[in-house]
Amino acid sequence: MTFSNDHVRRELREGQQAHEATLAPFDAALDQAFDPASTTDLATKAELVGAPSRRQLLKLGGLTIASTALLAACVEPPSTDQVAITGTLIPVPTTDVPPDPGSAEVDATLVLTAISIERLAIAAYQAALDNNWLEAPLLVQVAEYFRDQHEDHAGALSSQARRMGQNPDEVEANPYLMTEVLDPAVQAIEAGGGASVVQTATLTLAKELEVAAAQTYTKAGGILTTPALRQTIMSIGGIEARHCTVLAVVLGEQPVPFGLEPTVLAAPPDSYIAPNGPVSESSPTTEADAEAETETE
Amino acid sequence: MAFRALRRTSAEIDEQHLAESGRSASRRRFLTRAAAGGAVAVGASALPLSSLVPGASAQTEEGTEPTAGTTPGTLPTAPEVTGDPPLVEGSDLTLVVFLQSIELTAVDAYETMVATGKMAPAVAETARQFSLHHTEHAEALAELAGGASVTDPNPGLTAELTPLIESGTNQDDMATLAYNLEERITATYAAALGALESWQAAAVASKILPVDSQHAVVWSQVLEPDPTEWATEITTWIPNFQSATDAIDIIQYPAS
Repeated sequence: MTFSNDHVRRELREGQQAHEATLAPFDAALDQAFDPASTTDLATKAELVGAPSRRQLLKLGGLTIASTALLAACVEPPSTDQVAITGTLIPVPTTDVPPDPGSAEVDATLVLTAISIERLAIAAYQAALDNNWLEAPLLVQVAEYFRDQHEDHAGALSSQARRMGQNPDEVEANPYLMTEVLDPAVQAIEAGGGASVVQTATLTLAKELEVAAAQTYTKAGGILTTPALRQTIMSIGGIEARHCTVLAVVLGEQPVPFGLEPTVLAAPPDSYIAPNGPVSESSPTTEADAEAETETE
Repeated sequence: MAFRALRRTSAEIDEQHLAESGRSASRRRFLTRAAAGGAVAVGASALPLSSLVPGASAQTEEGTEPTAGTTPGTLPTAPEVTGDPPLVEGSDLTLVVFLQSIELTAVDAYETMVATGKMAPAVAETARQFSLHHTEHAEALAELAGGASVTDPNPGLTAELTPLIESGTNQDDMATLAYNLEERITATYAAALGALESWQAAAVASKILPVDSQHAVVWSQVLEPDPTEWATEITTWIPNFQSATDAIDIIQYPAS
């Protein structure tokens, strides 16, 4: 196979544009963290700029299952047999968790925010399908499958929200993430650059949204106030993590980059969806709870 | 084949969210096909941990005296604390120590798999990497357990796994065991999250569950490297919701 140099340069340039667009939120986070007025601690700053500890360096051996790269045949083959080491920065694994900030209001906020993230993911996959951004038929089927799973997740979360006195029907695809992540990425994708570039940019966007979802749910798992809620949210978070792995493999990235799921890329507080209904201190978390509460009344 | 046709409806999902009987059956079929001999028998049918916390011990037969750690529906005896005070207590501490012992078993299992020499170098490297992840998990759990933490793998689980690994004849056998182990550990965390009262313990479990679920996906790709074939079983590899159905039984496999 031969490539024209102009074509390669064009693809690289447009790929870089897509990359920069998707990095915009990260840049904003850096600006915020390194603002002199910021209270961000040194460890977090180091984590943000990717200064690895000695221990992390030892773990950057990489996962090398090139022979099993799922769906790799569907995308442009890499130029070498070496599995890409993407430069993904591995945050310091830590079990340091903040003081429990949970409350019924926070519970409702996290569930509604989760719904908005699911709806954003559905919108992103739907756009990819409607606009034929994925050229490999197998990837199209996987995208349909993931979109449908996000619909199921949104449905389960909506049921949960109703049990908490909230109205999930009012929740749209997350507006903050739509503006900060999805729209810029879509602009870059629509700029074209060749089917392969478009497909890669689409997969990259999908992975970023899945990462945001998985990490948001992981964060919620340490905040939600009841075991039932935590179990529910992580029954979804674990699946988003699986989506991340599939997409990472297709993109030639490390399929399991962290030993402990980080939360640094979780949806930021600015993206949270506030409760839209009355929040009680004892929001029922299961149908059984709800029935018991009704009977008590 | 369109994946949509394979999906269950949202209504079914809602009903079967935690039961996931169809998925389990599908996985069992796969394991029957792919596994060598008893390689799938890592643990018997499990009870969700949420049914094992104190107060849920109604399974005791009438007329029998319940004994903690031996009666279905009760947790094993609380672990002994020597040294640093744990960050969690009560049934949470018992669960955390149990989870830690399972992580140590996973570390051991991967080391044993690599030692068999039946894995290709790249796959063995993956096993080593995942072993490191499980070491991290055990360390994170040890922080919670403080002076109650364990240093040995789960004796019952290790006793079952080790001979299965050693009798495996090829890489597929190793990958099947690894896949099954990771799926069951993931399910165990899903069950634990429904039982842990402490948000600190829940936070750690929430950081571990996604990683173990990703391990399972990677092993599924080793087992079925052809993308098209892999995709025909995508509902097994990536269910709609993470189930707790296949959780490892804390009663059957106490930490020590």
